[in-house]
Amino acid sequence: MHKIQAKKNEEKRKLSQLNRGQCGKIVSVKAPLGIRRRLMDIGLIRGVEFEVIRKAPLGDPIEIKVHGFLLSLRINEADFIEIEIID
Amino acid sequence: MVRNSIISVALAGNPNSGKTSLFNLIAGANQKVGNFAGVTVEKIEGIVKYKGYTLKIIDLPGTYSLSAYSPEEIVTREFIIENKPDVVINVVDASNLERNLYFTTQLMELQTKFVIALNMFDEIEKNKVVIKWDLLEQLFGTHIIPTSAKSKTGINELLDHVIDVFEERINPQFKLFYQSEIENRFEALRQILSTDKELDNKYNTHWLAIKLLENDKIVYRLLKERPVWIKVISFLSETNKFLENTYGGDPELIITENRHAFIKGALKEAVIFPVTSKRNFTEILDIVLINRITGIPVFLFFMWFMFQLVFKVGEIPMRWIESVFVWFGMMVGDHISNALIKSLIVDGMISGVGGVVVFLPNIMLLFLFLAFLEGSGYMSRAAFVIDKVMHVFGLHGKSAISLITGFGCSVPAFMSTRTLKSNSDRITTLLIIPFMSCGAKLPVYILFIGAFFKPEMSGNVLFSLYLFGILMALLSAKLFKTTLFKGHSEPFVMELPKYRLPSLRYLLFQMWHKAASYMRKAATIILLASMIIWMGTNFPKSDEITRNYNALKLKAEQEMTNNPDQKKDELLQLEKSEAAEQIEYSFVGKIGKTIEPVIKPIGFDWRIGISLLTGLVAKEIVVSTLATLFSLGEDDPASGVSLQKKLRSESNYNVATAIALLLFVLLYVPCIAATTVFYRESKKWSFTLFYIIYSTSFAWIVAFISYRITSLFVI
Repeated sequence: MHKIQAKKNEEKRKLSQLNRGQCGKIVSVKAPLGIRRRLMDIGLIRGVEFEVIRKAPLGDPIEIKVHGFLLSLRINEADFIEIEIID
Repeated sequence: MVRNSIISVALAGNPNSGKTSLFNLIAGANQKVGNFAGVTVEKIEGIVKYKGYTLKIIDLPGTYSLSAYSPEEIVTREFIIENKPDVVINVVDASNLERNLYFTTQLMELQTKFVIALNMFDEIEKNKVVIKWDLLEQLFGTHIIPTSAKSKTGINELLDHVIDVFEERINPQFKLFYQSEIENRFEALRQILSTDKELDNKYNTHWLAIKLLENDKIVYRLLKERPVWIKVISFLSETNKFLENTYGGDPELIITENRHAFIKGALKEAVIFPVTSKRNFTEILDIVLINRITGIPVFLFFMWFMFQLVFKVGEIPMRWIESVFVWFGMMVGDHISNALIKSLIVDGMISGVGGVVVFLPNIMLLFLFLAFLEGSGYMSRAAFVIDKVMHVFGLHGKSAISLITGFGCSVPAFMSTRTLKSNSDRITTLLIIPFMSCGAKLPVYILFIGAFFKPEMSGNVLFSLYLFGILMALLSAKLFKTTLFKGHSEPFVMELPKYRLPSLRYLLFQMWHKAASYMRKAATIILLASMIIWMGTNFPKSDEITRNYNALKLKAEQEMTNNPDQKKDELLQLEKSEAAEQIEYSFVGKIGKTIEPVIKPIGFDWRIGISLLTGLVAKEIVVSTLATLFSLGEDDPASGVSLQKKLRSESNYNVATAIALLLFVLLYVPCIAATTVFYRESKKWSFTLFYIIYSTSFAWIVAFISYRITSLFVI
C-alpha cells in the first residue's frame, strides 16, 4: 500500500518539467489564490489538454498551446500546475 | 410619446478581440480619451448619431474575466454594475471562441443586457467553420451578429440590434446551466441575501450569491458590515465543506469548471470546426521570429529600428519645429522695442511653447510604432523573449521596451509604460527610466569628456557611463521590488495573440490619442514651469550692473573710434560679461550660490550649480548656461571648443570634477517636461516627490563617492 502511494507521487509531474513538443493534461492547479484565479480564468483548469510549444530563448517563460490559443507563463507559475503526460 | 433617444453603450470583451478597432469604426473621429477615476486604466468614449438615436459609446478595457484581481477587471465590472449601460456589446473573437465566451458567461451571470459581436468573422469564414446560428443564440440567450472591423461589415446590423435591445424589441434571456447541486446552492444563498431588502433593491442577488461562493473579495467587503453576513458566513462554510467532499474542489474551482463545461457543451452542439493539424500562419511566423536562436536578435533589431525611427527620423520634424519657433520669435521680436517685454515674449513664451511642441514628433512616432507592435501581436512576444532578464530584477518583459525608449527621451518612455498592466511594474519602471541616459544629456557628456579626457579614451568613458546608468536602473528596480512593492508579484500569464496586420486607421488613432493626451495634459504645466525658470534666470536685474556696463561700453565707443574691429570685439566681450554677471545676480544665480555648500563636497562650484538648475528646463541647457557664465557666446559654433579650453584651465575643475559631474547629470532628476509627464503617469504626488528626491540624492551620493575616490588619484 505504502509502496503504491510512493510510486504515484513519483508520477506527479509539473507543467514546468515538460519539454518542447510534449503534450499533457492538467490534473490540478495548486497556486496562491490570486494566481490560481488568473490561471483558471484563462482556461487552465483540471482536465484541459495542452501542448508545450517552446521555451523562450533564455529558458523562461514557456509557451503552451491550450484551447486553440498560445499562452506564455513563467516557470514559477508553471510550477503550480500538476499534469500528466499524454502521447 | 416622448422617448429618451440617448443610449449608453459599453464595449466589453477579451484583449486582442479587435474591440478597439470595432470601436474606432463605430465611433469614428468623435472620441474622448480619459482615465477611470483613480486608476491609470484608459477610458475611451465616443458619440455617434444613428437612426435618430444618440449612442454614447464607451470602450471598456479588455479583460479575460470579471473577477476582482486586476484594475481592468474591477473597472469593467464596476462600470457595468454602477453605471448600468443600456446595452453592452460583448466583442468576441470568432477565431478564439472558447476563451472569449468565458467572459460572455460572466456577463450572463450579471444579467446585463448585451448582444454579441462575433468579430473577425471573416477569418473563420475562410476556415470553413460552420455555425448553427439559431442554436448558438438560443444557448447564449442573445443575438449574435457577425462583424469584421477589417472588411467593415456587420456594423449597421450591430447598431440595429443595440437599438432593438434598448427599445425592448429584443429581450435577452440568459440562462447559464450549472450542475444542479451548484444551482441549488446559488438559489439558497440568493434567498438568504434577499432578506436584506436594501441589498435586494440595489443589487442582483443571484450574481452576489455566485460571487460570494467564488470568494470574491469586493463582494465580501460589500457584505461584511451587514446583519445578513452572519447567516451568509455559516452557509458558505457549510457549502465549502460539502463541495470539497462531493466534487473534490472548492466552490471557486467548481464554478469556473461549470462555466467552461457550459461553453464546451454549447460549442459542441452549435459549431462545427474543420479538422486541421496544419500549423497556422502565426505558428510558422513564430518559428522564425522567436525561436531559440533568432529570438533575441530579432527583438534587438526591432528595438534598434524603433530607436532609429523615433529619434533619428523624429529629429527631422523636430528641427523644423525648432526653426519655425526661432523664426517666429525673431519676427515677433522685431516688432517689440522694449527689451524686457521682448525677452519675456520671445525667450520666455515663444521658446517655452516651442519646448513643449518639440516633443511631439518623438511621441507620435513612438506610439505609431508601439501601436504597430501591439496591434501586430509582436509586443507580447518581445516580452516573452526578454522576460527572463527583466524578471531577474523583478520587472516584466514589457518594461524593456519602455527602458530602451528612455535612451531617447524620458517623456515618451514614461508614456509607454501604459502597456504594463500591473501597477507595481508600472511605477517601478517609471522610477528607473530616468537612469537610462536620454539624448539631451549627450551634449553635456561630450563637453566634459572632451575637456578632461584624451580623445582615444572618450568613447570608452561615454560607453561606461551609459552602462552604469543601466546597471543603476536595474539595481534600483530590484530594490523597489523588494522594499516598496514587496509581495506585489504579478503572475506572468500572457496570451501570445495571432499575428495580424494592424489597420492604418488603428495605428493613426493610437498615435493621435497619445499626441492629444500629451498636449492636453502635460503641455500647460511644462509651459508654466519653463516660464518660472525663465523668470528665475532673468529676474531680478541689477541696475548697478547695467549702469556699470553702460559706462564701460560708452568708454569703449569713445576710446576705440579709430579701430572698428577691436571696438566690436570689445563690445561683444562686454555684453557677455554683463550677461554672466546678471545671471549671477538673478534668483537662479542666488539659489546656485546658496546651494554651493551642498554641492561643494562633490566638487561643484556655484557655476555648475546654476547650470544644473537651468538644466531642469532641458538637459542640454547645462552647456549653454556654462557658456554664458564663462562669458562665452552660446550660439558661437566654436564655443564648444573654447568652452572646453576654459573649463580645463579653471583651476578648481579637474578629471575628478568631470567624472562627478557626468555621473550627477546621468542620475539627477530629469527635466521639467519629463517630471510633469511622470506625475501624469504615476497619478500621485507622493510618487513624484519620491522620484525627485530619490534620483537627486542617489546622484549626489554616487557623485560624492566617485569624487572622493578619484580625487585621491588626481594631483
